[in-house]
Amino acid sequence: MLKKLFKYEWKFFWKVPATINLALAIITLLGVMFIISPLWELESELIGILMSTSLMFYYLSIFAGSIAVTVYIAIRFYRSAYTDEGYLTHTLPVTPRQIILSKLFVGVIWTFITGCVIAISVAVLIFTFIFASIDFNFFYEIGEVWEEILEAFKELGFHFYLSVFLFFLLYAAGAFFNILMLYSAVSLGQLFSRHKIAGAVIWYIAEYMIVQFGSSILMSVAILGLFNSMDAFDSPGAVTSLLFGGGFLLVLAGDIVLYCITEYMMKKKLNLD
Amino acid sequence: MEALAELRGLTKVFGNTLAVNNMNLIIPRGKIIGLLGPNGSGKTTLIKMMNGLLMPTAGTILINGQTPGVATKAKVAYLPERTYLQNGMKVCDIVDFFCDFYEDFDRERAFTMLSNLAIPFTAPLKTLSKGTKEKVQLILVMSRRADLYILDEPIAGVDPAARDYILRTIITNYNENSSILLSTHLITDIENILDEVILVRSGQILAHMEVDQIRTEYGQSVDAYFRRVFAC
Repeated sequence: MLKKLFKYEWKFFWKVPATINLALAIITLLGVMFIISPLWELESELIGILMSTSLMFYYLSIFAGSIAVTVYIAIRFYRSAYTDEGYLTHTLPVTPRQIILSKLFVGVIWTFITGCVIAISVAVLIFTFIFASIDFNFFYEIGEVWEEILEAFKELGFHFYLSVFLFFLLYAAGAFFNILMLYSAVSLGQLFSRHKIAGAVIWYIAEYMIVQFGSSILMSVAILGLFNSMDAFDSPGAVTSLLFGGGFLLVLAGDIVLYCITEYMMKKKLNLD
Repeated sequence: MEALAELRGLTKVFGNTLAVNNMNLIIPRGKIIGLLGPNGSGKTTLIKMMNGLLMPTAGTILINGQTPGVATKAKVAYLPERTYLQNGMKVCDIVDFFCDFYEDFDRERAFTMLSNLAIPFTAPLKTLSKGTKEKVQLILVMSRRADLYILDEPIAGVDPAARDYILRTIITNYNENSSILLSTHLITDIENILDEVILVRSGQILAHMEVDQIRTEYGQSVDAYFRRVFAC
């Protein structure tokens, strides 16, 4: 049943984030055309203004696109679980766990896709700028010094590939965390007898503040711990791995707590108006 | 024969409002039962609790001996009073959706009923009128070979001609092991198909009796009896 739920959730979901990502791709293409255009050869003050305006527009577009996908994930969850559509969702012969997981996986996949589109967009614009403005083979140079970069990482105690792996684990757990924060806030908002959307926003703000407060305290404790153990500075790589690994475990614990809240609300406190 | 559904001490409180008050009820198999009562009497709340859409404050619900969950949802076909279909879907898509999730769904029966009511299979739901969407929903529900059909206001939004077809569909599409619990205000339209009625007032069951009993004991139709009992 999870597979079927996932199939239909994907079918109902993909159009909006795909459109947003397509828009981001088009904006990137326009950016590339702008960079390689002969406009730059003109000696005018307007060019500087045009460039800063374009950069601002690009930054806002990426930010808006990313936020729009996140907001749509929350809206889709709310509509399918707690509005009229919920009458169908909750009368299917499936468990609340299957309902939540199918939506969660689709949301996380689209978060990754959007993250990749943004990363590729930024990389394409940077490399286009490099190719357009510097007359040397950038990739060739990078290839030449890559081994040296890895060697330098190793000397500092960094295991490059391990660090990248831990970073991606942390990123993945963070993606689940962000979506589960939305799901749990929407579900807790159902405790309000009226103004349930406002209730969800209040819960989200409360969760956000708790997360910020908690992470500040944990960060302070970690930094104090490092200062007390001066040996740590001899191996910054090990410290980084420890921070990534520890961060991953903490975010994973947060994922589990938020998931349990969402499932409990759907299982025990479901009250469709 | 074992009861199809049983409610014991069922209670639901919303804030300070007692919507369902210590309700006890047994729903037998093979009956068409009217759930009747004035607005705000707790009919829809009761129906939602039976479908797991509302959590009871107290009491238990057993359907086929099980509390509402995956197993009961596979055996209960529920028609809510509102439209739950996504506008972006086509009629045939939603038929596929039901076919995928409900093992007891009869695709042929669904397409036959859609044809009889001249509803195009490929029409997007957003292009259909409210009444046609309600017909589609009812067809989807009645195309299941469920044990218990719970229909909340199934004929309120459709025209009288379609109403007759729907009532015929209800009568022909259930078997001796299944029952239909039907909530409506249009008593005159449905009373000829009812075997039993449950009268509900202020969240409590006022009476649960056979339709023939109303006719013989009180010499009235269900509609006239309802009007007398719930006279303002």
